[in-house]
Amino acid sequence: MYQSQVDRERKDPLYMQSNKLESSHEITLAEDFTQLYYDKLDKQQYQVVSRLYLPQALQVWNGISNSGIEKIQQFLSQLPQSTHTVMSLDTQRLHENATENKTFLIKTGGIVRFKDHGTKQFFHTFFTTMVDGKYKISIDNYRCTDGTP
Amino acid sequence: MAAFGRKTKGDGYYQHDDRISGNYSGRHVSFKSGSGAKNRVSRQRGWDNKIRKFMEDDVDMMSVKTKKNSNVRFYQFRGRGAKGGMNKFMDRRSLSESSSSWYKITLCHGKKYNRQEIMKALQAFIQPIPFLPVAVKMEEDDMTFFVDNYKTAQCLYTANLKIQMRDGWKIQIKVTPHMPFVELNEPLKEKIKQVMSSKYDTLTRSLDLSRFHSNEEFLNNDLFVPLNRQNMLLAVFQIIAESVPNLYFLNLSDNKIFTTEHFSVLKRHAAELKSLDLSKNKIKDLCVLNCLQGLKLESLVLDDNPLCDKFQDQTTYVREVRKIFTTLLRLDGVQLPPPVNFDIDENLNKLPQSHRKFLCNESEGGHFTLQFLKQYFFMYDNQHSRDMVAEAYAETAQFSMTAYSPVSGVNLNKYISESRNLKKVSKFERRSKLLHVGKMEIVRFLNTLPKTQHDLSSFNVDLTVFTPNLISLCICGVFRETDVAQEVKSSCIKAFSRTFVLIPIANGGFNIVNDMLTITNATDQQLEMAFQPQPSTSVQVNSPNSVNFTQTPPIANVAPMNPQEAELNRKREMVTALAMQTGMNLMWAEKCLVETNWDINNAMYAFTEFNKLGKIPMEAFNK
Repeated sequence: MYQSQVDRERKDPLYMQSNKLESSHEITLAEDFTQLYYDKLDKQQYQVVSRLYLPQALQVWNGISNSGIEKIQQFLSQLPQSTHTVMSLDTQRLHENATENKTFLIKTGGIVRFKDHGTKQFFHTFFTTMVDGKYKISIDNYRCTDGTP
Repeated sequence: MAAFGRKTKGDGYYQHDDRISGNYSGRHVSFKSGSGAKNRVSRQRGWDNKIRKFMEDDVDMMSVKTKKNSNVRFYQFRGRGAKGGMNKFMDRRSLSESSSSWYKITLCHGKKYNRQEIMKALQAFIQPIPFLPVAVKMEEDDMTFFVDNYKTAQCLYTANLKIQMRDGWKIQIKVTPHMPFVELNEPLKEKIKQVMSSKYDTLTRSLDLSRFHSNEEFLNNDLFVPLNRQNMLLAVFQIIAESVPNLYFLNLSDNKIFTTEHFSVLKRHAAELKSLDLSKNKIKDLCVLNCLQGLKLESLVLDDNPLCDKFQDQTTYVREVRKIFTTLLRLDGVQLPPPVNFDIDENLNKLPQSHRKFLCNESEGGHFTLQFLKQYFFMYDNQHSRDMVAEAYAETAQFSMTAYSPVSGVNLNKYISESRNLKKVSKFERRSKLLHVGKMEIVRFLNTLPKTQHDLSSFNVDLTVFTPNLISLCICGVFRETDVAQEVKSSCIKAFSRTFVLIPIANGGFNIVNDMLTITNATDQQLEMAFQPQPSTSVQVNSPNSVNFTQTPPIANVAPMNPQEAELNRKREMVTALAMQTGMNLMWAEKCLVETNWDINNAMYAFTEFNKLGKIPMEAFNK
């Protein structure tokens, strides 16, 4: 299947163009999405942040799980004020056999400073799915490590 | 004073100087100490400082005046010409102040003189200003050394061409604000350790490192150990961490310390530290001390730091310091009123305690995760090739890697050049190329990355989805590169995070369909903890050396078993592992293992080989 895809790309310029479009769409999504997310989170606009989640979303923050928008919002709002600097960004489309809805994996890494705490490194993975024309987080996974890089 | 006697014997020049110092040094000292005592008693900031400044001015004026009166030719040693109405050229002769507080003194052609003789001459000249030459060295014809304060430096600066040696030569003195980088080698480390141990008092658990560089041992050996150099301070802290983790009192006064970055080492390793003396340092602002937050200090001395001048009154000062050190009972030797605590402060700005693992499905999911990680990283860490991991990926799987370094100087080049960091790579073609699709392509790419060994005990694991149709797993931790020199931890140990998505395959096993890897440098704490055998970790994976299926005991968290049972369990596990990995059913997996004498590596190999040849019957995959 993979091979046939490659062949098709070579032979069909139209297919390639649409492929290119889709890929750049993916990347725009990842860029805009993460920018919005960390901006609102760092500004402590938790209501806006929680709207980015699906109603039944799952959040795992440093091993602590919260499911559902209310719990996520409540949890985020008790965190100290944060300042995230995203230094790496990557995205992949979730394998088509894995899901019915179009879902993208977005992965970020960088440094974070929580008020009254030192600098930490963080890694963050999002599963974002299109629902009613809007992208929403179904799962996100956040880890930060202690100590200065 | 005995030295004076000897010196004065045949030399009129010295006699002259000694008389002055004899007359005025005593007065000077007593005056200074008097003002110090007063300061301690009155303790009113702002006012106190003004007084102190005034007094110091007065001292200088006095010494200048007296010297003038006694007709000494070096009266202009402190540039206060305008005030005293002295001659104007002194202003031109002032030395700019060094930010490090260290000054390099060069005595041109000083090599031809006897060291002791020349030092005595200098000392005599600048009396009553204290004179402590550090790290005396010959540089070609010159003699160089360092002094640790402005006053001395300024004094030596004005002494240029004023001191005549016996042969009639006047010493040319150059003064520059300068602090060299001092390389910290093993012998120096040993020496520091030795001096530290002489300064440690076991009874009171206190370590006195005040004016550390002035220790006899360093001076006699002409060693330069400035504690305001980060590498020196860090070495000292590491020695504390290793040798005296139960330290109670640490005196770091008079070391020109201006930053506390490395104090985090203390925070982690000297948990019992209750008293800290940082007086007479160069800390400019209270926020510098934020790094120390978390130390449970009861007593702190900050006297004589530039930061003290920033406060108008004592109450603000105490309040601000207490914001950082909430447990503080004494500040600058003054007993504080009990701290004002509110309930609300307890949890404010506290980070929730993190858990090292999250498993959305404890039993089955936990078991799967452990097996998967062991197997995957066992294959991935193979020192010859990563070919074996091909089995773990689906035909159309995707893999991409990103790498970034938050600090410069960490060598991640070999990753960054192949990194699909969308923040850096903007060209569509390049982005597409760096997304590796298909298991063969993935393995090809993985084989180009440096050989690794993952520290499984460092892993933080999150299993976010575990359904029959989908598994999603995130791991972060550290690995080391095995083909580079292992001595320098920071250069071979890296931090990573990895996201796996797996879906079931026809024969009952699972294959990876999405794999995202992020690599960055490890934090200081990660470096410290990396590859250390840990007594109890929540992710119960055995130490990395034993991540070898034939030796791995049954999954932890299981009560001790008798040997036969353990053996049975071990075999059962290997069967499950092989079955999951290959997609074969349990019966065939067991068969394969029996034939390869229960060596899972061989079994995997045999399976791969036979499978390639198509020699494994379909029934092996029926479940």
